[in-house]
Amino acid sequence: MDFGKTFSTFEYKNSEGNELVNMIGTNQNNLGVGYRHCIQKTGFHVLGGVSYQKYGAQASDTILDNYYKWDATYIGANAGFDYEFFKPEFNYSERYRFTLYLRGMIAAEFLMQGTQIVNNQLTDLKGVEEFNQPLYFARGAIGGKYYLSKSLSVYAQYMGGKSFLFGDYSNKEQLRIITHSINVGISVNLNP
Amino acid sequence: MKQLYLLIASLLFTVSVFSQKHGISYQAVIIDPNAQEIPGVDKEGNILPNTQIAIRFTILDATNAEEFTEVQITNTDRYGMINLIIGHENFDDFTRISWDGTQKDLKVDIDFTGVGDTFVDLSRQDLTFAPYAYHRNITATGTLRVDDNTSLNGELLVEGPTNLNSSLDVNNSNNTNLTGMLNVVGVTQLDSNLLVVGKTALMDSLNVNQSPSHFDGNIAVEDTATFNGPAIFNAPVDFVEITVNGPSHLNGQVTVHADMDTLGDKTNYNAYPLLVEGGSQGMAIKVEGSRSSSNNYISFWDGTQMWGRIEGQTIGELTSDPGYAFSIANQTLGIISGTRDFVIAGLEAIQAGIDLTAASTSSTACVGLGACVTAPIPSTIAASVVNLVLKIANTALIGAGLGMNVAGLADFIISSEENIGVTYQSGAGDYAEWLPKAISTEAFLPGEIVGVRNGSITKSTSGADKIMVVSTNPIVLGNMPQLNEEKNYEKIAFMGQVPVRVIGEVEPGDYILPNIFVEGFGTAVHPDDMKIADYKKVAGVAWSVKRDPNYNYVNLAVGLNTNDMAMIIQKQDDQLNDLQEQIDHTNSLLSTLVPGFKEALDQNYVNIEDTTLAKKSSNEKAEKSETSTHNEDHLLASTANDIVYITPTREQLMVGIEQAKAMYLEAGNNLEDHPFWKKMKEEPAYQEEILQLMENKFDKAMHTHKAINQKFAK
Repeated sequence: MDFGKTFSTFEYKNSEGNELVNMIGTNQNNLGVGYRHCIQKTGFHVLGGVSYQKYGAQASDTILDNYYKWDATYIGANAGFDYEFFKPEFNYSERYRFTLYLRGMIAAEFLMQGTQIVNNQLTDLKGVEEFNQPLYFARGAIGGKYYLSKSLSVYAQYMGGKSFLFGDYSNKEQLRIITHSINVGISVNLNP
Repeated sequence: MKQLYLLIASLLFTVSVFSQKHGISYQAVIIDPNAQEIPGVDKEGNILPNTQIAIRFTILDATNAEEFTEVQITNTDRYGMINLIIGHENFDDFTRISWDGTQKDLKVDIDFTGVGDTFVDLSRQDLTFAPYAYHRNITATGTLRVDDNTSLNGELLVEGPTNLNSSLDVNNSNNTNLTGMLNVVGVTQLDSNLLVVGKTALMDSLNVNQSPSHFDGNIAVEDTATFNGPAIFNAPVDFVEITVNGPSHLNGQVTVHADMDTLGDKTNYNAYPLLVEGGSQGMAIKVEGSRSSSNNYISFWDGTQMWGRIEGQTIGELTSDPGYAFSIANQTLGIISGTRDFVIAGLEAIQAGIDLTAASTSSTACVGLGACVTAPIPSTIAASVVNLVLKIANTALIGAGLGMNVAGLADFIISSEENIGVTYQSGAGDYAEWLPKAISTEAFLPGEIVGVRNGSITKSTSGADKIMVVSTNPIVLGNMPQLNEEKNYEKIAFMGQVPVRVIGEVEPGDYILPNIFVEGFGTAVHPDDMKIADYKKVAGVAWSVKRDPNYNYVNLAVGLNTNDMAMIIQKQDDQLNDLQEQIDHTNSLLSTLVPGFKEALDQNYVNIEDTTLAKKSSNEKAEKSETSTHNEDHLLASTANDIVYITPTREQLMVGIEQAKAMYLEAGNNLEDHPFWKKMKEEPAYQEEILQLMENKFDKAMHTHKAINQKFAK
């Protein structure tokens, strides 16, 4: 279980392939719970979990004198693996132990709530085009874990991700979300 | 997403002031018809900045008919705004819009492609008034009230009546043109010159208080024009009718040219262009300088030349004027003629006295022994008395006429020399008068010879009282007939020269007598061939020569041959004197040669011209007076020859005078018109003289009668 801050930004192209200028991301909170299973002392782990993510962005159009802002909350399921590439010799007698790992994950997220503000107009994003479809993310992370005990450890990681689209979006609007998250978490070893 | 959003920022009418253009300002913000694609819900209603678009403006009238349309290609600014002038691209059509107050709609279409071929509706709205407006044409269906000054830089056209409740000033020396009638009820004051290019009709009087008034062109006054002061017209003036109540001075030539032919013939008074009336005097004509024959007071013209004139005359011209000499000769002839007539009338009176004496003498044969005495017939005596009275009256009348002729000649000469002034000259040569036709259907030709009986003319000259000639072209024509009676009259020459139709050759001085074979024509007779009886038939004396043996048209002098008879009488008087001398000479010889002839001649012959006869008549009258006291029948003592002589008494003479007067009155005459009867009525002395004259004539005739009876009794 972890939580952290996610800096998200929108990568948008309209049907003509033009991007919005002056678009910047926002910082949002995230929360995740998962399970990690060690594979035969190889250093690889498979993992899965659910997440609560909030994404947002804002932009402006100086020509049209418009201001835009989006806020969206997603719940997703993710799966992945990690590999502890730095793992000293395990010594159970030592109370504290530190490892580094690389993690790769995929996730499918679904919009739980979202709003769009254009100038002073607020619009619900539920059921609106780009936000009405699940986001598929591919993420990669690097982190370090410190075992406080044989059954409890804390970790911190940086994880970057980018959503991607399925199907033909050549003549349609395209929205991708790029995320940068810093999380800290606690891991409990259920089988010490 | 294709909805259009349009914001009309402003739509203003502009007023054309100086540099401002004609048109309607149109300002709008163009909204992008396409929504902006953004993440989530697309953004609609964005402005359309910096984009080329096409705008089509259409102005529709109340019937939705298109009055104006134009297309303008423009670019929106960075704020999506456009600023256009409606009418900028199609100015001509815009100026033709009739802003007549009815509903006008502005329809705007837009083509976002900027080409101008794919328009979509943008807006349609009513055009309303704006604080500033400029109109080409505007119609105010209601009252147009302008509370402030109104400046009209163009023409002001008012179709209906225009009421100006205040003064009207036309400044800047601008002209004021009125093509229609200008009715000014009040006083009109023109402080400067009044120039009227067209006709000016003044329905009321025109008072011009400032003099002089100049009229450079013609003035036509259709109605009465009254000039209370002198009116001077230096240019031609046309008056349809002009009445001048005061003296008029026309310093220039006056031409009276009136087309009066439609008003009737010469008998119509109103058919004459110039009428002078209203005064006891007619017309006076004064020429500059002294009068002479070179000054024409009046001349008579036709279309080619002058045919007559009344010209000035001096004494020298008078005495050398043939007409004056002719008049003197005519007057003299009148005196001679009057003397002749008076002599003849005296002889007739003497003859009447002889007739009275004869009537008073009875020589009727008696049957029986001894002397046979018969009394004269009273009625015969009375008739003779009447005849004698009438002859005396005629003698008195002729005497009066003779006296008037003598006095008239003197008066004529004096008057002619004192009153010489003008003479009338014309190509015509005779004085003529209208004389009635004896037969109204008889036609006469100029130059024909006619006979006059009882004052009426006929072509038959046998036994006529007078022979005259039909005038051709008289200079003076008297005795004008009444209206429509000219057909019963003919112009007859009385005096002067007149053409006459003559058969045979004519020499100057020949007498023209009627041709006994051809009516109307004359025959020339040389004076040496004239007989006493011919003088009665003389029409005139030829003054021209004609050699045609058949037919001639000669100039004849009529009325100038009365002295011819005087010459004959003079000639006969000379012959009587010669005979008297011969008789006296014969008596003298017989007295010498025949014993007792002289005694017998002294005893029985009474010379009526012997001055002693008057004494003898006086003695015999005394005898008669004594005798009349013994014989109421006025019988004289019977003579040896048994002839009874009766002397008419005063009463019988008076009865005869009364009978003659009654006959004169029965003839329809008036005593006042006859000088004899007038004096007989008014002057008793004259009546006494007449009675004595009758008695003297009777006495003379009685003595002659007795002498003749005694002579034949022997």
